[in-house]
Amino acid sequence: MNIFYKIALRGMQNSRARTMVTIIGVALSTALITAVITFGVSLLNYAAEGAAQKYGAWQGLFWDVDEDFIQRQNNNAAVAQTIQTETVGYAMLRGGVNADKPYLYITSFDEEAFAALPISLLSGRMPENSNEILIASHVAANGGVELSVGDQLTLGIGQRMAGEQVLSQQDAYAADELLQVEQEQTYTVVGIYLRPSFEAYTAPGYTAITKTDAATTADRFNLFVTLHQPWQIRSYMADTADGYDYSFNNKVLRFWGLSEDSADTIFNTLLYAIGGVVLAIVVVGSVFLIYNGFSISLNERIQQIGMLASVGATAGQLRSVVLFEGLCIGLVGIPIGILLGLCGMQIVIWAVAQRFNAILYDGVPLVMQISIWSIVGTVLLSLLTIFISAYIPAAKASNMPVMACIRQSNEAMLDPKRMNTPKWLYRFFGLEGMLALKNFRRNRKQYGSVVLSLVLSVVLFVSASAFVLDLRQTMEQTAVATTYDIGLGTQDMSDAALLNLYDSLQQINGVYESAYQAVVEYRCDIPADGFSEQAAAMVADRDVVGLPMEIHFLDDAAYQRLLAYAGVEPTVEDGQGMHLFAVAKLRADSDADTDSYVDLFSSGSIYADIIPVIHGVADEEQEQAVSITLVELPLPDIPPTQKQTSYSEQREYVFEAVAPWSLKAQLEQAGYTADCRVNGITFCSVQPSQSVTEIRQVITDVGVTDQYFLLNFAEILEENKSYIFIANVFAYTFIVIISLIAIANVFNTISTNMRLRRHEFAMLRSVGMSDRMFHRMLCFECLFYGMKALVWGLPLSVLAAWLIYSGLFFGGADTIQFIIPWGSMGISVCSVLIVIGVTMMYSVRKMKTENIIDALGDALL
Amino acid sequence: MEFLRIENLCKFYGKGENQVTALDHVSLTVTKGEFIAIVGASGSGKSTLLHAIAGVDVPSSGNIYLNGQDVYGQSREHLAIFRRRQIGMVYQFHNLIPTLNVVENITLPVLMDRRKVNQQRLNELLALLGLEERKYHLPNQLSGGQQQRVAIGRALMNVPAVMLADEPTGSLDSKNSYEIMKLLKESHKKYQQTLLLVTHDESIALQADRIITIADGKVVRDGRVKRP
Ligand SMILES: Nc1ncnc2c1ncn2[C@@H]1O[C@H](COP(=O)(O)OP(=O)(O)O)[C@@H](O)[C@H]1O
Ligand SMILES: [Mg+2]
Repeated sequence: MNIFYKIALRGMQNSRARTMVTIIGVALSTALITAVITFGVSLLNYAAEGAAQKYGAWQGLFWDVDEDFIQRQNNNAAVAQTIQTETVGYAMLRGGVNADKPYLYITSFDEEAFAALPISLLSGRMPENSNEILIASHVAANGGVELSVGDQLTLGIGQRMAGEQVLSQQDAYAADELLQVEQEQTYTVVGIYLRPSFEAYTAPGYTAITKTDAATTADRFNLFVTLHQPWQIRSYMADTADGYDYSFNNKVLRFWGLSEDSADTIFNTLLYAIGGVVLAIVVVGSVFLIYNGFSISLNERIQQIGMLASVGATAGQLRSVVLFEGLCIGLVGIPIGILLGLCGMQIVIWAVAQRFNAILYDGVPLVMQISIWSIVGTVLLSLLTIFISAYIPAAKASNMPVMACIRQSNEAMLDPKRMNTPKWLYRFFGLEGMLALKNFRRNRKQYGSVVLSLVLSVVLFVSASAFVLDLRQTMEQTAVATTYDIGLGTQDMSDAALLNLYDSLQQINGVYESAYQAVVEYRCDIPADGFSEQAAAMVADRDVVGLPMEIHFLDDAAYQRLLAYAGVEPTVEDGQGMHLFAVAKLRADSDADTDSYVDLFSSGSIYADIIPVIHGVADEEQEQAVSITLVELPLPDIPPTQKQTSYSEQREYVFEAVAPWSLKAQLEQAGYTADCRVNGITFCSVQPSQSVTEIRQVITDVGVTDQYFLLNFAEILEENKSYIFIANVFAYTFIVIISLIAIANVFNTISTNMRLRRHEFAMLRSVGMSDRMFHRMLCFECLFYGMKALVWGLPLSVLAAWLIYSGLFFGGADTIQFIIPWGSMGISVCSVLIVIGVTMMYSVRKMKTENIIDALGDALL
Repeated sequence: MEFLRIENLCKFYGKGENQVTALDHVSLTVTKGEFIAIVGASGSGKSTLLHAIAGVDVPSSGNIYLNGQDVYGQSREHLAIFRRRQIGMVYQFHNLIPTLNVVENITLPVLMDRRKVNQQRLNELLALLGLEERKYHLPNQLSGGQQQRVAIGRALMNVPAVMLADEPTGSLDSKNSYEIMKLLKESHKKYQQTLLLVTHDESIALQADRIITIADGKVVRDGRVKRP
């Protein structure tokens, strides 16, 4: 081996501590880059797979193509899989209220299509032949046509024509188009399902799905395409469309950054911006860490180079020595780092996988996704950084006289003027304070990196927490909150059957709270003098006013909870017959944007008669006198029903009563059954998606025949929730990683610096510095560094938090308020001081007790 | 009057086969105000002995008593204060704090005690040491000899009871050596200080009251200097 390589190896062996510090720096930074990229890739992959499970794994969709086209697509090598569904045609939706969506769009799925294109069934079952059909729930919610399971539909089915041209679902409704009816067909509605993701918002027809069987004779198909390489999908679709309409599965593509849906612009921007910024910071931080690992031993290295130069090494030889050293360090450090990063990430993924499954997609495992290219990139980046960092001492040394290199020491660069400290410092803080300030000034350069990394992590920590807080604020304001996660609603089920079902549903996994309730329609006759002044208009000239109202019958536990929550004392029996609590409010100003309410009645309690509504008519024979106490309480959310448009919003007042379930039986003693708006069971669950699967199973097992709706509200809110969750996980992982970089940097720098000062500490102790003084000196130093980092870090982080806030504010979240992040700033102050303090104490833990003369030893020999 | 007593002092370095015995059962008594020269070949253990007395090198066995106080029997805190107040040590190497200037280095033991610096004494010392022009220089701006004089100044500043000097003139020319010796001796006389001095220079050794010769870690000769 070349003599210079031998010298380099020997040198590394001799100064083991220095070599270790450098290797640790390289390993840590490589580990961090690897971990961040792996985590990002794994998260996106998980999200994409979860979305694929929910919306289907297809990427692109060709509309209304013919058999030839399908054949050509299947023969294309770029295509991994195709799924075809048949287009039966359009039919007018009778009674539809949405002028832009006047049709039912009927498509037919075969077994394969049902398997590949997930359908979220709300009630009923899947179609089993070409006479059965699924209707999307927005036919009722958006189209205003209520269809239920069991209904028969006779439809005239045909094609939409614009002149000679056949129109597809991708062509929005136009007034001059024509429906050319070709056949008549009768379907039985067997189920209601959630609007499918492939139906665009502008599509003119509500998608209805039937089952392909021998009787199906379609000649036009929708072709769902999955490519081997997802990122080619855009150009692929454009290139092979052949004039056919096409659309994309944006819900899945967004996670590859491929969605061009306008709704995903923000998502894409966030994805790229956050991804880019995170990567940039981690890369810069890591490069810095490696560079720092080399530069803290700059003087030693220059000295070594000087020694070699003094015995006649040429510049080229010196270069090869330092590069060889860098290579050795890289060979050890980089593989360790990559392994460390992958292992660390695997552990993190194991730790969070459970929570991900519970919160996001049940059934899609969160697994580590290793990206080979990113690892290759990481290796190259680390090597480059190592070479540059190793080369700097050589470059510096080549500009210095050989003797200056050999004599190189920290002290040589000291400037006496900078070492003058103010008198008061000694007076107040003693020798310790004075020495600390001098050291602080002397080590400015080396500690620059400590201060910078601390400033960086304080700013990032504070702004990341501010970002999360802002996000939470936005979400809290926009979130549609329900009091339950899963709702099972029916209209016709008898009370006995409902309670029976409720009992059968007690053992569902994940459910921590369940309740049953019924919303029943009544009319309430109130004497005119009970109304408040503002409600005078409603009274007109009548003596008694009959107001339609609803009574929410809640199971007793839920009723007690509600009263307790609202701080209302439970009913006092006053011998006046039945008693109810009710909310009675009048919309104050119907023109105003914001809803403000005033009391409907003049006093806190009224006596009135309630009359049940039976088959749409108030049955006065069943009239009953009640006393009603008016209270302020949040009305419970009702179980899901097809009539989702809230009836009470159409009235100018709110008048709803709550009552315990036991009262229902009491009221209905006479044997009547009042009209039920909805009755059902609600659940709160920690794993809503899994619970829904189990509930559906129980419903099937029990054999419920009534029309029902099973809705996973948690899932509907999930999209928002999951973004917050992912943002949170990412933000906190990011914070942890940044803090790790900072801690590694601080640790490396301070411990090396302390090691280099071992001799000096021994000198101080030899002339009588006690342990206590020594500690005080280090505490002062710690304070100086901490102060410097915080003086820069805190104002900058408030600025950063404000910038994030303004970004969100102008980005549309204009209802959130700027909050100075005191909490995270406090945490930063403590952590900075603790990190510096602990590192210092750790580095000197041995020096305090070691024999003074041993520490002075090097100078003795 | 016995002032310093050393009993069976041993110091070993290393372990097993590589063990080096730097001090081998050294016993000594020194009376107050004595001036002792310690001589011996290089590597015989002179510095080790001085370091042990100065309270900076824990002996492997044996005891040192100063004024009846067991030096290594006290707490670390008291040992530090002991070094600060009782001992003035001039090391064989330049033991200066690089961030402190000449004045600060000299007054270091006083500063550690948070006592007021006796300006008169300081100026006197600076004049004696020829460092008046260099008051505010840092050690790296001084020559070897000047650094050594600063170290001596530091040892003298506090007027310690015991002065230990390890070849203080080793790296100095004869004129410088003469002045330094004069300084040490004057202080020793004036303040009744006990002075232990390691030297290779016979003429310096002969100025002492007593010469102790060390070889292979043992005291091989201990004799008074007869003066005409
Ligand atoms: N830190 C040490 N490690 C190992 N051996 C040492 C150490 N310090 C001194 N020695 C050994 O102890 C012996 C005495 O050293 P020292 O007291 O410095 O001698 P002197 O000052 O008389 O020249 C020598 O043999 C030396 O090699
Ligand atoms: Mg010696």
